[in-house]
Amino acid sequence: MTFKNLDPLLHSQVRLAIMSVLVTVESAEFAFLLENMNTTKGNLSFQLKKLSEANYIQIKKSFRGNYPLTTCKITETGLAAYETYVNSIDEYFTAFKKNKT
Amino acid sequence: MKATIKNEEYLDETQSLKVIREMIQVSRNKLKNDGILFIVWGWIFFINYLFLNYLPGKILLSHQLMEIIRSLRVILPVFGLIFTIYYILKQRKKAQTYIGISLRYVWISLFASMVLVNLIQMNVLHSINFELQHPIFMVLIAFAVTVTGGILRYRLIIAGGLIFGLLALAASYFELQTQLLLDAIAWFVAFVIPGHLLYAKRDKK
Repeated sequence: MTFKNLDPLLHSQVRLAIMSVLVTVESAEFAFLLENMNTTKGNLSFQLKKLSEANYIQIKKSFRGNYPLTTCKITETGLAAYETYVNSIDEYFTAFKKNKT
Repeated sequence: MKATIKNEEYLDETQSLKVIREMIQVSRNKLKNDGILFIVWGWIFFINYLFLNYLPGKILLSHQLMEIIRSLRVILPVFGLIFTIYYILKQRKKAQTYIGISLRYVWISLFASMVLVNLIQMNVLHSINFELQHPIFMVLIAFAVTVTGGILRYRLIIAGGLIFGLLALAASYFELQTQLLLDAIAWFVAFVIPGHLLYAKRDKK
């Protein structure tokens, strides 16, 4: 049994992890995501850009003191996409349980 | 979890669920409240009400000791304020949670409400009636504590808030001196005890 019609943008470890963190917070800094993703800076930037291009997240660039600060926030579109994705997984497991019994 | 730009890892059903669970746990563990501010303010007001206000009214103290007590009444809250600012800046979380934002609004609103109560008293009574002010402030604090407990989903804080409210009502039956004692008990029950328990349960990593 495999997923059908799953959002390909969320169907990747790093992007799903980013969205799963952002869905629980109001906003998160790049450093916070990096600490918890166990991925490289470059990859995280790349995946954030992908999510931002799809309007799933908003990226705000500013400064804290002399240091650049990147803050990410989930958008309404992103939230809806995440909800659909989670519902699909839920449907899969429900179907899986039914097939088993 | 390792992934690179060239080699994106796609998931199966179980892995997706695992990633979601892990990340939710990350937010839960890293953004917990450690109760430090509850402990600091709890002890400050407990000491202030009991040792610097209630007991000096009951015992005859020397002029010098009274001077020290008067200074401490100001020094302790100022220390609390400085520590709070330092703690907030030092602990500045890299992620803003809805819980953190809600709590900030609750406590800033409490402070603003206290100022407004005093201004209203000045307008209506043309002076500040401390016997009236104490129970009203206690009700406001009880409200803030209960809401905080609800936001943090911590029953002991909710219970502390309710006790604070009941002690506010009780305080309205007594004169100022006894009100100070009830205030001290309320701060101990609603701040010191839950604060220490939260601190004991904090994420030690």
